[in-house]
Amino acid sequence: MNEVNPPDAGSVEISGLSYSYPGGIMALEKVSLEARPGEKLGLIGPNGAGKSTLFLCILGLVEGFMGEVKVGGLSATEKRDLGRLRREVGLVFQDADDQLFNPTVIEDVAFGPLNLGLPKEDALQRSETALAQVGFPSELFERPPHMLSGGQKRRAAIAGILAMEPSVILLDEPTSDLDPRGRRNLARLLSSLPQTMLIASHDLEFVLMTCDRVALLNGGRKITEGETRVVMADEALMEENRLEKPHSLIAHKHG
Amino acid sequence: MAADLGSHSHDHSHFPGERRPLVIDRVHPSCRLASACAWIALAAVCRDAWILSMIMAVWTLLALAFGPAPGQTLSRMGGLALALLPAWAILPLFGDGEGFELMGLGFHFSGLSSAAALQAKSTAILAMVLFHGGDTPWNKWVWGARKIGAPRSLVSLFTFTLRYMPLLAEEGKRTMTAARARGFDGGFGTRGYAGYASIIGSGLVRSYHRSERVTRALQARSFGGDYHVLSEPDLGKADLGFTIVSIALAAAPLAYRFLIAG
Repeated sequence: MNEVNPPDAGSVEISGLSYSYPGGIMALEKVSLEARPGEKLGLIGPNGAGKSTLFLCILGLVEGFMGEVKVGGLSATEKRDLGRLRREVGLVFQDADDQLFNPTVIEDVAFGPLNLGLPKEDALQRSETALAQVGFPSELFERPPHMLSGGQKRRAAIAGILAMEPSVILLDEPTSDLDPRGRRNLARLLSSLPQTMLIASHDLEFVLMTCDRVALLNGGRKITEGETRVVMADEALMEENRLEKPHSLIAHKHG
Repeated sequence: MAADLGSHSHDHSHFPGERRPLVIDRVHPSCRLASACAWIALAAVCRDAWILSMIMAVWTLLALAFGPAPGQTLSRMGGLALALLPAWAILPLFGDGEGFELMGLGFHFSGLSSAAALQAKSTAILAMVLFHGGDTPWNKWVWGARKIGAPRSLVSLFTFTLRYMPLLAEEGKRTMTAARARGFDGGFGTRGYAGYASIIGSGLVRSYHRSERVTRALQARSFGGDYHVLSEPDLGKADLGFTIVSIALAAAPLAYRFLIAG
């Protein structure tokens, strides 16, 4: 079994990753990416670009992909590494309801730590710390998830991942149910966290706020990769890939 | 750093319709489950009309006096009575022995007696469920089921069903609204049935897709098949006392019938 080496912790290396859905539709085609420890890498692209599938491959949640996916030296293609790999990588799902299935918020956040074998006291402490970190009100800890607002669900879902103390966090459309203020605050929170992050989003302004580097995917292929501002400022490239240059990068003429 | 991801306008510090806790809610859910099982079993097997009537009367009074929302309890019992009306019409047709004739149909007293027994059993069981259920949130029933040794897979199934039921209901409502917005007016004609069938069908497909996503979310958080929970309340002496007294009372009519009356 491979071990996470301290210098590797938080690194993500993907090379030549290909995956087809049952039925033969190509979801990813020879995608190669790399994220250094602590880096925030944005994944942008139109619908069906393969962003969510890429996350499932990183965690080994789909079978039959080709190529190499390594997180902190652990391979997603090696069954014996999967347990450790899933401890190192946290995935915040696009629909928070998919993730929050426990009867109460605090039980849900503690679900991961308890699965890691932590004693109940430690799991509770980690959960409370994670919920405080995302600013979740303590009076709602015992609330059933279906009685939370969209923003509260999102916070609880992120806390559930933070409580597992992963070295890499994958976020799939993290702003889909947030209002503008919530979105700004989420950007601030993510920027303050030390973990390596891969953020897949259509919200280009949000990616601009949080990520120094982006990879543009389209039709399952990586089109380009580079500094966020440089890639997003390329109007022709954005148009070609059914995206739009973010409003904040458009030079406004005054007078 | 604490982040505010918006939604303060949606914060509900109190549950809608929150009431003072009921006395029965203080009893450990596992003890209530055991007690309810004993009484339901008694109501199900009892054939003595007198005992059955007593059980129904006592439990109806208990549910009204100590259960949640007496008005709601009464309306549920009314709904049950309505649902059982066909039994009152059909069972007497298939009885035997003495009877009477009405509009050319033969009705038997034994059939009427079976319908009455069905009504009494169902009402008693409903009252028992409402009384034992109290206002306890469903997560505590999970603890209760675990404590009395229900199989893990059953407890997990119970947890997931209860968690996603409101969500499925919400999705169903949204689909119905969307269908109505596009001119679907329901009804019981062929078009109506076809419309309902496609709505139910799409609901099933969505549920299947959601279950796949939930499974992935479970795996992503290192779920290995063993469902751990953070806190389980301990059993107290009062809980055990409640269970022993309740089960003894449930056993008393059976003991009377089999040991004393013969």
